[in-house]
Amino acid sequence: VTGRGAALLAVVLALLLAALAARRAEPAWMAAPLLTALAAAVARAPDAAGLRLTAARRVQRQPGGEVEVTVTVRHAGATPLLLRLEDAVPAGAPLAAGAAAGRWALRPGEDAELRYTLRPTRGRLVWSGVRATASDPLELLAAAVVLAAPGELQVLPEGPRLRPLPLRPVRTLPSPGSIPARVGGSGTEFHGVREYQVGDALRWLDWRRMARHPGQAFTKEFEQEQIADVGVVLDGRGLAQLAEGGGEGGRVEDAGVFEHAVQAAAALAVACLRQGNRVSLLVLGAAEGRVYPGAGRVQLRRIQACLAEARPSAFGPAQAAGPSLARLFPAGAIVFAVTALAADATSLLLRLRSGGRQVVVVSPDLVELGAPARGEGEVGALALRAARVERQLRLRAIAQLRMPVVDWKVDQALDPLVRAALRPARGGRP
Amino acid sequence: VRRALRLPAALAPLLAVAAVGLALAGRPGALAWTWAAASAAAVAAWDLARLAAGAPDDPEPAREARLLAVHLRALAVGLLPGVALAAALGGLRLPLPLLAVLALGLVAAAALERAAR
Repeated sequence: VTGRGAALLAVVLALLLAALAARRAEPAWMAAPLLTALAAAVARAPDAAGLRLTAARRVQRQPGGEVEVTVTVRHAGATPLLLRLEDAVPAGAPLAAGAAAGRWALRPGEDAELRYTLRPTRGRLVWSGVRATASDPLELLAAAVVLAAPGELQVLPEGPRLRPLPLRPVRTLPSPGSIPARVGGSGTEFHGVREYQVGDALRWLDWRRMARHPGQAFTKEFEQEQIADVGVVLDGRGLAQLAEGGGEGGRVEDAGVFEHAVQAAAALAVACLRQGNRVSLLVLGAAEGRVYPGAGRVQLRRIQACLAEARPSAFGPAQAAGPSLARLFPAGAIVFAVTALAADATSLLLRLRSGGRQVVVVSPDLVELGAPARGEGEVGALALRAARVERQLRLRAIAQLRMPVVDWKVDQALDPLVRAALRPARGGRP
Repeated sequence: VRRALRLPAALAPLLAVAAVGLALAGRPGALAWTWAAASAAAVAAWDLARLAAGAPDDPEPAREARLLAVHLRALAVGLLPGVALAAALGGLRLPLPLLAVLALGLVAAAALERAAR
């Protein structure tokens, strides 16, 4: 019996009792239409066991990152049916268009199609079934079943598109790439001139110098362009509450600062892989995720899959250290550390820098992201000020370690900030 | 179709007014069918108001029109026989003792409960 049916039944009983108590016929006559409505509902009530419904689900990616979900339920029974469908939308995927529930009046053999669009950021979207509630036309009596309609989709984060990054690592790998290696050889940028050696291509002969020095031969050299090892660290420690996005303790808007951090890590990994570099990934959060160095499309998928599953955690010490870290980030690698600067951020960054690695810190500013909600009232304003000071102190401590820092207000474009941080400091590398 | 979709909301107050009018007309001694019609109109008003409130924001016109037609037909099929019953049997006067009436009421309630299960 639905809520509507129960209300009607209660009114009928109340009227009948009133008629008995008052010993008058009028309340009983008032109950007559209600009773006939209930009787009609009973006559047309569906039976859960007798429902012949089948469901199918189609999940399709749309341009722009949206996902269209279509659930089709076929009524194979012999009598008309009023059907209500409710689909459970996976967590973390807000509804962009359509509705995940609806009602249909179906004749035998007809289909009901539930269609809606989600705008997921990342992660694994899993559907198991759709809840179908069949009822009489007045919805007084209903029978509900869950129809199997499984579906799954993994949404990989890509992040904002970055232009090729001007990386200047300490060490490059002997494989053609896009990073100037400060070594003469074949390339596009002029590097120097040396004496001709047997086997040098004639087209690289420096004819002008040879004219000035008769009897000698010289060859022009170009700067080799190679690939490098690049590491990306996503530090999600201490962001578990913030990632909830609103409510008690959750101070940030929409997806939260962790989602911004994930998108930044994905953008950096994608940009470095597109340049041909070897990229590795370390995720610190609810579960530690690692992707060892590799290049190419398969590596890109591995990294994106790891980032898609990344979850933030409450603050805890970073476990990754020692030989495993060396395997993850080879000596001389450039490591992008995407961190909101947890309490032990400095020690983590120092560990990353050991072994001759260069560390570039990309720090999404969670203080400013949560400022509007946080700064209400005198105490809130004071807390906000303290948080800003604390963040500035941590940023300054990192800058004193001679690590480039991207102080990223998440509404800003990441590309120019990263490029500015990678620009060689006066007299050397970033 | 758009007008049809607005129909329940427009009908609900009309039916509510009709219910009150009929109830006022059905004072003691009046015909039984006026009481039955009053309650039928009140229930229809309540039901249609709920239907209008539950309608989606961007309805699919054909689907909603069919749903509305089915619902209105079901309302008519459910409520009008009750009014007709009252009109047909309203004049009957059966001198039943109170205990018999109570027993009948109990049997009706049990039957309803069993049917609903």
